[in-house]
Amino acid sequence: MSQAQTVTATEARNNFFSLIDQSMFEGKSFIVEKNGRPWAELRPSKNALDAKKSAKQIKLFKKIYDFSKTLPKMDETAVETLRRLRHENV
Amino acid sequence: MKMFNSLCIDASVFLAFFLGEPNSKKILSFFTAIHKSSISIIEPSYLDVEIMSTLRNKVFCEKISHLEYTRLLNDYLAFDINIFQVSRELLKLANIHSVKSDQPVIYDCIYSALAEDQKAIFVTADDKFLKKIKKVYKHSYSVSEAFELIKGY
Repeated sequence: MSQAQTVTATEARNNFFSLIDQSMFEGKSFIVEKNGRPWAELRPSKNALDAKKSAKQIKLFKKIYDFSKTLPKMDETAVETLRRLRHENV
Repeated sequence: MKMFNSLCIDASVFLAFFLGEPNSKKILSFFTAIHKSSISIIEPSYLDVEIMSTLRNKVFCEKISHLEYTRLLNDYLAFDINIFQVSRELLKLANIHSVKSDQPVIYDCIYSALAEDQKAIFVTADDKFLKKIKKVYKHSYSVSEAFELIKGY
């Protein structure tokens, strides 16, 4: 996770929804300062982190799927190759 | 209906997906459904060996290039999987699965044994093995069956 960014209470009030979006979608954390001292923290919840991780995985699956379609057709299925490698000496 | 927290997926499913077999679209939907649910993927550490070895064999047999192999391998390593070390206890259970299912080797049974040990669903693309292992571990499914099962989670 990225290091927490410090914002003043006024900045937090004026940009509250933007900070929430950055927290949810970019995983950013914020420390809200008042009179030069840390007062509150804003950070993504576990749900938001899980959703981000999940979205990243789904993107990876699509990338693999698209790439796999560029590969030549195999003369053996994955099951057949595995079977051959697993049972080679049987 | 019994709810499961995790799935153990045989190497055959990953490899069919990586190599773009006709069922790869179904596997894509399956993987996507897993990540939209609260189910996690658990795998024996042996999966790494099988994936690397099989893809390496495809390079050796000149079916894919070394560059394609490297790319697939890097993508595989980015999969969010909980890896379990293959212990002797797990191998003992795999051996029992192997004897009961009349498998000549125990490789496939390492996955079904981990599934049983962790009270997970076992998924394989190998229909022949599935038919045998269902009699030993009843929570064994094909990709299509497992997909239907987890859609409701």
